[in-house]
Amino acid sequence: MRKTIKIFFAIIFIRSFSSCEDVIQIKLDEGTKLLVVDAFINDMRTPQRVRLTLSDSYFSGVNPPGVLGANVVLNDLTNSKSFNFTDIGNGDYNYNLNPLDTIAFVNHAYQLEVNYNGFKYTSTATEFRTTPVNDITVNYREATAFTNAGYYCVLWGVDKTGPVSDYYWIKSFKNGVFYGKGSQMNLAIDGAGGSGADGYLFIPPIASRITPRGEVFQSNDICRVEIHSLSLETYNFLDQTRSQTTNSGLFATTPENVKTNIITPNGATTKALGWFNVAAVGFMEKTIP
Amino acid sequence: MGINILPFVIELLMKHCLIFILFFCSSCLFSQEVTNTVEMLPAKPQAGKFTISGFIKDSGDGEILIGAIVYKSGTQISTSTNEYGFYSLTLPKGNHIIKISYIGYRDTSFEVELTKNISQNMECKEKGRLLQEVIVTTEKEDKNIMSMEMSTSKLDIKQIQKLPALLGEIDVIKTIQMLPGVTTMGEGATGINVRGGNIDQNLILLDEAPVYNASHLFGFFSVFNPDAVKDVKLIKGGIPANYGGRVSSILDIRMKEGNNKNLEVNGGIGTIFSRLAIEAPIIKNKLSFIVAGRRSYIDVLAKPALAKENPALKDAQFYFYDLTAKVNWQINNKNTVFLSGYFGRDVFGAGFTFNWGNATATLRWNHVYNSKLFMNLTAFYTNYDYQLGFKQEGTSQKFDWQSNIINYSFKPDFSYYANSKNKIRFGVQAILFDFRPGNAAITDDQNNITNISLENKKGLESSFYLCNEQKLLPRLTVEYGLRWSFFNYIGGGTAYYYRDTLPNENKPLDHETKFKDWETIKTYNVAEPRISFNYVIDEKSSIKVSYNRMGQYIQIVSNTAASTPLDVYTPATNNVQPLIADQGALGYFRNFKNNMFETSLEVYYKYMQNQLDYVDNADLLLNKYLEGQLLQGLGRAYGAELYIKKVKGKLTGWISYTYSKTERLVRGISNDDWFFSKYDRTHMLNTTLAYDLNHRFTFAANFIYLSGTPATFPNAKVQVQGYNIPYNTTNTRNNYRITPYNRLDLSITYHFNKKANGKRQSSLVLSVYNVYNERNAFSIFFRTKEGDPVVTEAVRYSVIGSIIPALTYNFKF
Repeated sequence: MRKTIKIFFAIIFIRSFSSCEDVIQIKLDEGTKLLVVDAFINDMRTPQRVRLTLSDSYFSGVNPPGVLGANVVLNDLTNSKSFNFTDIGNGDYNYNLNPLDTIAFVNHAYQLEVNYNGFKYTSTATEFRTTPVNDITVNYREATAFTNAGYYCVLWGVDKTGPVSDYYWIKSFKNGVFYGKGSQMNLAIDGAGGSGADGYLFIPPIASRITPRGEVFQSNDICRVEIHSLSLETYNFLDQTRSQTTNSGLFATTPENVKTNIITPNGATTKALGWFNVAAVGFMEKTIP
Repeated sequence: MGINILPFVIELLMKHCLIFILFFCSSCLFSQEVTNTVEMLPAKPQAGKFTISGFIKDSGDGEILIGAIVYKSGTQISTSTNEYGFYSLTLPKGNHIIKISYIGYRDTSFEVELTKNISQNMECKEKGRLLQEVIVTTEKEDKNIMSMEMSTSKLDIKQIQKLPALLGEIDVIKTIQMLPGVTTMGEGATGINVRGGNIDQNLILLDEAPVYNASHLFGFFSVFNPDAVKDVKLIKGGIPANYGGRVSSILDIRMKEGNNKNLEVNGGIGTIFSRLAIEAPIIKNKLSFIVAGRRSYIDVLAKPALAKENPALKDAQFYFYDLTAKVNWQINNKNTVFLSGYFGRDVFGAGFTFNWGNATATLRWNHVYNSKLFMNLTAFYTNYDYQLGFKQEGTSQKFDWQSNIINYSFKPDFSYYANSKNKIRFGVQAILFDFRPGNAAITDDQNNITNISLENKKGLESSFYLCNEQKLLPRLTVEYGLRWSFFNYIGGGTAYYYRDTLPNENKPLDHETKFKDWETIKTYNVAEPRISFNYVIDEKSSIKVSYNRMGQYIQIVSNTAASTPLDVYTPATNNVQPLIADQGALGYFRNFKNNMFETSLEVYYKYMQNQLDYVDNADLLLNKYLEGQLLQGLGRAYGAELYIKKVKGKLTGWISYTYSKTERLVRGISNDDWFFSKYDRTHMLNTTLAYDLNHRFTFAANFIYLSGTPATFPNAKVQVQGYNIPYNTTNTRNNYRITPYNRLDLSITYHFNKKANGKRQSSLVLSVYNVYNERNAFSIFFRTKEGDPVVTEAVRYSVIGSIIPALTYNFKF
């Protein structure tokens, strides 16, 4: 909600005063290299991936370099099963599943092991329940002062009731391309943006944000929506990622470093960052008429 | 810890205070009317000495003059009028020539034969716009040298009116930002930062009622209507014991009483809003009022265009308004009653509603017991609230949120003019705080309402003070005193108790305890000693030294660069310790060229305890476990301030230069080391000058140069799930600075009337803000380039990115 207010403030400023943004050149120091573990595993019947990179200078202008030669293992602690991920040589470590199978189950506990430079980095996660996408509705709207003409998709889904809060990451895609800007990140606690909406139909800003601000769908586009379950800690990590990647303007908050749930072993010279989560996913695709 | 007796102490104090008041009240209201010169009731005369006392007013409109010097001609025996225009001067029996001096007014004198205590009210005549340069007075314009005040700036509303202003609208807060030791985060940021203090550390008083959000339109204008303001005083250090509750500064704004002789209308038609103020006597010289209002009209002007662009915007709302009013009734020479109030709101809406505003009401009663004892009794109410609502068209889904902070206060203050060497002030105050941080509800599509409101919180702050301004030696004056403040965090409500954890982590909840209405949850008290010395070297120069301790029991909860109207306050609770600041200041004051130039050089050091900070990714709004996310740390600030002010002549204005440093230390932040606070500015140069060319034209200019504020920049890019996350591997906060701020503003005022002090006045002001079109950085932020997800870039954000001209027509009749 704070987001919505910020946007509105921004509109007022742009319209009433000549506030402006200019891209500038500044020189930043070079930070020490960190091992970044990007491990968002899910229960979909698709290849699972863990990406290992080293942090890069902020203005490098390229994707951070992949880490090769590491060893990545996912342990299902509930089932006592292990899955070895294959280094494909660009920083990605894949587990190629049989399309009828899945490695992730609700309520199972998992451990991730990354062996890098002789040190074992670990993390644990539990897969929480998710909720299905009941429907995606599509409406055509004419252009307005702030929006474009086109099809607007809205998500219909209901939060699962009690006993504890559910945390969701609602990912939407246009023709297979993820709306992946920080400002497009769509998170929910139960049916709303904060607590107090247990068992709710997803409320408007969340339900309608599958068509992100400034975006529209056209005829024959495919809109895909996935609802990923999150732990509270993962929700906080993504929320922090969202605020740190969109932290601008008059009401910017003090920049802070995102947290990590990857444990750096004692004695390791390279500190680890990044996140490990195992999600259950509800999804649906719809072709715009 | 032995603090449990405090509630009883407070209760006792309150009882005493009440008895005290009743005792005084019973004897004095509606005592018989006295004529202009009367024998005063018994104030025990010292052997062979008598007291002359009364009120000093403006002869033109009957407004009281605050801080006018009253002295015996040819001597150093002097006093000055208090906030209500009252003076009391004790002299030996015999004939005396008494003079009154007040800047911008002709010197006035009268002869008096003192054989008993007498009351003498006087009126002073204002000099015209250009007369100041003609009459060069030589006496008693050295108030800045002689008075105890240091680290204090008084602003003359007439001087403010000459200066160039944003969009042509002069503004009290904007002018205060030009003073030494005062900074702001930049355009669009509400409030002021005084000597390294946060914006919530300033007690902003409008006729003694605190104003919690002093800005309209997110800080572009302040809520104080200049047509209704009489006197503005900013106290940054050497804060007298009669003030308390905030640790960094007191901004004491007094409203006009209203012309008690003639009808007067002031107004202006500007680019953004229009103003109108009406003041008049109801009973001449006795009962008068002022009503002043403003409203912005961009919305009215823009509505047709907006409606054409998009019918949905037909109902868009964006405006602000305020209304300031005061009634002043001089019942007799001994009793005056003032009732004043302010009400203002900012309203925004377009498919949603968002509005906020302050309301204040103050009732005051001045009573003169005798020629030596003066009382002011104030009761005030203040309320800041905001409302926010979203609604989904065509469904019942909606979200509504309302928040308030309400204060009720009662405070009698007494001044006892014991003799020509001692002036004693004492008083008590009680403030009841009613915090309503969030009344919020979500309604779903089935019309089910979920209440997500936070509990209200209550606090009672009570205090008493006693201080004496004593002339120790002919050249040495000392003011010493103590304010003792007490705070009770009270129910009904739930108190949350947390376990300790790593610094900068959410504290885990240990248990919750319910408290009944008015039950004490936690108490605090702070003994606040205040002392200041003034050593007069000669009539042109003096040295002043001061130390004060201040306590503060409420703090704003905000981690944004500019404070938003949505920010809420938290009282001191079982988890939040009160803020305490100690400040020492040393100053050298010197006047040049017959007091034409007033200069001062001051150094200060301030140490603050229990300043709020926040754990990473804290959730500050509508979070009942907020206190588990608060951190408290230390602050220190020091600096030197040079101030050169030209008060007379065709050219008036000031140059101020401040060198300063402001740092914080919070466990868990920035590797547990000191870091620069976000409003640290090493160098600050403010120049503001006005030049009266002739009877027709006044030119004015502002020039500002400020070092860039500190900021945290990343040194690494971390990629997770395709997001390029900026990361600072050194983990230090505020490790860089943004570019310095500099700006020039100019204005020309054309006066339609040649006669400067005539009754009818009108003028046209052409002002240009940001003349050389500087794009000053408010902040620098980092983002992924639009359309290229691997490239990251730095962006300078400027709130004002162009020249802003404006035309304003002002009138008075």
